Amino acid sequence: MSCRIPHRRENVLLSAQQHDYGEFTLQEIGGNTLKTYSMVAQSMSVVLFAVAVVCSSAAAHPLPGAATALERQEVDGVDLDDLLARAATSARRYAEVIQDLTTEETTTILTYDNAGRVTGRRVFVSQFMIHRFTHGDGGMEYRHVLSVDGRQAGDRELRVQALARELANASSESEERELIDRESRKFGLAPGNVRGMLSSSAEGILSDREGFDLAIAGR
Amino acid sequence: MDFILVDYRRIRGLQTSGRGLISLFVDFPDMDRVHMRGRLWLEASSGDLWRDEGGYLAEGRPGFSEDPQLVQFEYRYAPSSYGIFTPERFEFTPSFRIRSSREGDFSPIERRIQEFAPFERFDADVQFFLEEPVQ
Repeated sequence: MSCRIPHRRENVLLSAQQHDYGEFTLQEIGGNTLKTYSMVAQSMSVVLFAVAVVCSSAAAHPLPGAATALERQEVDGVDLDDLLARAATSARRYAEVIQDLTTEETTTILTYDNAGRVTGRRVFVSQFMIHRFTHGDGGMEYRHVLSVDGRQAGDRELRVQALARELANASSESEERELIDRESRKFGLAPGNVRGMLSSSAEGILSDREGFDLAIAGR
Repeated sequence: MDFILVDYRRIRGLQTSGRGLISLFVDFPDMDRVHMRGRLWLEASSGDLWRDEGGYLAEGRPGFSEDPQLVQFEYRYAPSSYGIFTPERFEFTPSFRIRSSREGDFSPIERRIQEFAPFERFDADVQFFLEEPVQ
């Protein structure tokens, strides 16, 4: 099913084409340009209503709601909002599962002078895990340092036992954080700067979608 | 696997407190002109994060043809048998020397690389020994 709707304002023709699964394609033909929009709707009448809203708008830009409905599907058949919804679900699963996992982590820190020359190199090997807070939700990175610059770290067993005792006696989440940060600083290893190890930008986008300009760049 | 690339740019003010990367240069004099931008690689069907590459840039610095980077970062993840992508390699390169007198210097001061072996579930054997109290 298809129809063509003459748009009087700018000599633009809109052509609507219905596909399977309630998907519609709209083509806007103005001068030598052709723009294609996709949208999902229950019926052609809904599509026509959206088109009417767009066409009757006196402003150069369509109404925000209608524009979103029309433009969100535009790139490469990928709906950005649907993709972000899947990413948010994935991030929740990630946060849950990663807490039960551990691995060996090698951190290499290179320092440079003003001329860009390497002036220092440190290598830390740690057992990496997520400490679950007793007082509060979630957790934070904990690194049990095994070696520094190739030399075995001392008192490994005693350190972890002492930390476990102190964490058990901690009375707040901030105290737990401080104890774990202190353990990292003992070896000159900076405290974890990535909560839960999901990248801070991805976390920001998923928790504050409106705070970002987002665009699908390809696949 | 099928990955969707999503370019991002922070348009709302950066949070200047907390433990994030931003804390590395929180004393930068023009924080309101610092923005973050980069690119995500998301697995198309699951939305799993495979890669995130980006940086914090100082916008409109005089004498620079391109916005200089305060911090460059790259996060890489890998498929695992636990139904999630687990961390594989992270790299951070801060490039701003607030404590030096060379305020306009944006060359790298440090590079931190974190490499992760394949993740495993915690595996612990626990044995309890009960002793009868001495009468």
